Amino acid sequence: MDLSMIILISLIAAPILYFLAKFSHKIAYILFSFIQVFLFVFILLQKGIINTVSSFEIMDGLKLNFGFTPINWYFGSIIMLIISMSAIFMISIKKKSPAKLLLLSLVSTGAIGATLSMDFLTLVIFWELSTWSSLILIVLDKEKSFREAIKYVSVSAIGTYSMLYAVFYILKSFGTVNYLEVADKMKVAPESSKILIFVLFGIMALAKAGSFPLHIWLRGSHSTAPDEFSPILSGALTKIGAYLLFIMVAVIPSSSIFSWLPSIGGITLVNYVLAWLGGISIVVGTVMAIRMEDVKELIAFSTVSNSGYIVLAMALGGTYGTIGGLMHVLNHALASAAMFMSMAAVIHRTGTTKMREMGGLITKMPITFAAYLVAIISVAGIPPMSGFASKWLIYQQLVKNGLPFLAFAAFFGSVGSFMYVFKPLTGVFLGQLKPEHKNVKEAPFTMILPMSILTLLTIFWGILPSNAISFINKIVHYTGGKEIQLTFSRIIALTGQWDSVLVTMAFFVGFIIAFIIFLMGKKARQVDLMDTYTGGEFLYTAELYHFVYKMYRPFDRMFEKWPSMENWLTSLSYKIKELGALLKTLFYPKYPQGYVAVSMLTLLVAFWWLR
Amino acid sequence: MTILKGAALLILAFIYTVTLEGIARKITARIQRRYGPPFWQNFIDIFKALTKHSISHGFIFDFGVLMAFGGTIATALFIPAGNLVVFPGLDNVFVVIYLLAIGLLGMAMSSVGSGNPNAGIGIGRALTQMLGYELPFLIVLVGVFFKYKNSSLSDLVNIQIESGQYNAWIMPLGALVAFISLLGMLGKKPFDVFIAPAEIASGPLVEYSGKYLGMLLIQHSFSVFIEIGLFVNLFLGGGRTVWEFLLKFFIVFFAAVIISAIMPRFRVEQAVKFYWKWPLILSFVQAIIVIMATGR
Repeated sequence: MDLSMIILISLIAAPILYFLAKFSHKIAYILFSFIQVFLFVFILLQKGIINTVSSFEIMDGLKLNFGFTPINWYFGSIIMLIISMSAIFMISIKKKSPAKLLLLSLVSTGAIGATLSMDFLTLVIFWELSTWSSLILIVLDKEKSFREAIKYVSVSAIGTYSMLYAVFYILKSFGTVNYLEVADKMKVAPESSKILIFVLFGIMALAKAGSFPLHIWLRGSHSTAPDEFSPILSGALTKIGAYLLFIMVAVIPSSSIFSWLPSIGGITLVNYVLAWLGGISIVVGTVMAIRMEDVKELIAFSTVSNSGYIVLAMALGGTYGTIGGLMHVLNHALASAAMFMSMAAVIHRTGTTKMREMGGLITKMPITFAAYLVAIISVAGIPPMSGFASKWLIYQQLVKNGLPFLAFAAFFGSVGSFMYVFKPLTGVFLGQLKPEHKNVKEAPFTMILPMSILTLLTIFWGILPSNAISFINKIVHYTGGKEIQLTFSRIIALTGQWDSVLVTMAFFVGFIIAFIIFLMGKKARQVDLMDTYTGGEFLYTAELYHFVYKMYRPFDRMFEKWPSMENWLTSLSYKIKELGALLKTLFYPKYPQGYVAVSMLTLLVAFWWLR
Repeated sequence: MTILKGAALLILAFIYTVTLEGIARKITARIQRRYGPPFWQNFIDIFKALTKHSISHGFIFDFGVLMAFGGTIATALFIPAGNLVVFPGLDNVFVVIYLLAIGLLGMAMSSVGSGNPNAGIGIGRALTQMLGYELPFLIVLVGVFFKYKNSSLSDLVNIQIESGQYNAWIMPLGALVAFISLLGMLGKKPFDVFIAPAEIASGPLVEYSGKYLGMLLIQHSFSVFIEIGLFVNLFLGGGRTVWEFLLKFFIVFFAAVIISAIMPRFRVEQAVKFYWKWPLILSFVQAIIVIMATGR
């Protein structure tokens, strides 16, 4: 089947699903998930095929180009995996509506079109399609999300305008927007336009990936978006930013086109600045995630931190940095989608997002707990799960270039992630069960299925990261980079090697020894969770005996006085409003004639100034 | 052969660290002018605990203990002890540090799963303090790996033995920082607020009894072996023979014990602030010196 047909199917499905959902929500949602799974499988099956460019002419001279390269396939299948799994997840969600389906189909179409695009214009058109539909989707469920959506609009507008400017600038000066042709022309372009294009694209990539300094939209829009949409927002849509970033640093090799700039630690200045933005993003995301009390806000800031890792790794470049960054895209997509899904399942059953209002749900929702546990082990980068492989490769690159300060950021995010991933584990699943949650049931099957698939994939690529890396090697080979050596279970890098199967085996051997010792002891007496050591107090209220609110209070105290970008922007907006009020009292005339006169005067001044 | 070596390493680690912990109790007692228990007291404690009745707070309480024990044993297998090396070349330091974390996660999960808030407070403090001591340690390691372009423990040991120069002489600031971090890792006195017995009833350990407590005592002695073993291998050149390694191990352990015997206790944010001040600055200075001297 032709590639443009796929995108057309996805686009046409949107209104059909909308009208179908008017009759029956259930059938339309099931059909939607079938379509998404079909699209995912279709993209997945194109693995070996390279360069099937299919153009799609909308009008004379304006063509949309789609194609398969290893890069497109990799990003496209990751994003469609997350979207199709979320589509299955949605079948049993409570708040269904036709508008949601319409917009979700558009988001999916936009995501496919953007990741399978072969030129910048197609990329920006489809990217905006998914951005604007996701924007409306965010505000559908909750009242307060309007305010947050405005942040999303403004930040993505900054990105979009800079990207559009860059695309038209490229079209004007090079006469083409195709990635590979642009890459050729960039080598001989004047130095100032190289920097201009790189900076403009960088703004777009950072804004959409949710990385410092354009990360402010993630907290609000991830947390107030409909629960079933948050996995897509965090796991799939931010990864298109990583796609653009990869094109910037690897397809248009920024290290070679900026070789005339001074370099630090073997990295050109432009990439070094980008790496620092990634590093700051890791630290900011980690510190903020630790301080959050709302589950979804916490995961949103963990997305900021992990986007920082991706930006850092790709900006570092080199063999290990690029491969580690690409692997981290996969790992974070799986893990953050699984985290958001398990939390959505909990919210579906309990109806709250505050950690202090939950607790002890492990006995009620064991499979959801298992999915969350595997996801956080991966996010924290602990060995038997896939998150370790990518972080290990990023550390290799940091050691290779000898960058202790950036390494500090990477380690901060890694050790800090133990803190923030553990907080929901404590607050939601462990500790005392609230009396009002006595009758909570496990999530429905359609929610468990996608979570389990993501969990199994995380475990699979944790035991055999070489499987994923061998494909990433192909991508790197395609862009002309160096590959890393692999065997079935070993990954060999600059500072030695590690054997993922051996590590897993060692863990299981240890576990079996522990189990034997455990069985040899006398059988333990089961007691209630309230039957604990209290220092002699008698306690009867389980809800007061659950420790999670301000769990890291000592840490909070250390960071309370730190400057907050959100506060700064809020007070800036107040100042602008005040200025507006002042101008209004000064210049707002009481008669229409005066108003016209003021406007004429303004226009005249503007004309004189711009003349 | 690998299996035999692994079993030998685990048995050695168990007997040696538990004995040393007994001796440590004796040393602390003598510094505080008490008589102190006999040095085999810790063996008695562990085996007695394993045979006693116990209580359990549900599935995760059991599972977390198994995960902690399994993860820590698995990590101990990657520590070379002199010429007793189980996985030569595959004992990457990052693998050791992060595999140790799975044991900590299991322990944290199990103790919080008991439903006792004291455990939750203890774990919150332990994780916060971890952010303090891990960072200077890892920055020093960046310098070490950059110098040798190698992060395998057994290879680093061989390099140090062959050149005859231990990293502690080449990078003294780094070794000092790593030792201060080691005190935090071990939970020794200035940095033991997360298991403070008088404040939060031993924190994470509050609910354990019987075989659970016994297993966690064994797990703790393995993690002591891993942490000190890491320091000895990275900075003191491991050893040509097992005995040399054990001697160096004892010296480091002794230093940690006498420091902890005379120290009061830091609050957790004081500990983190301390680590982010001098140790972190010194570790950056050390890493930059090493990188400058080696050349990129």
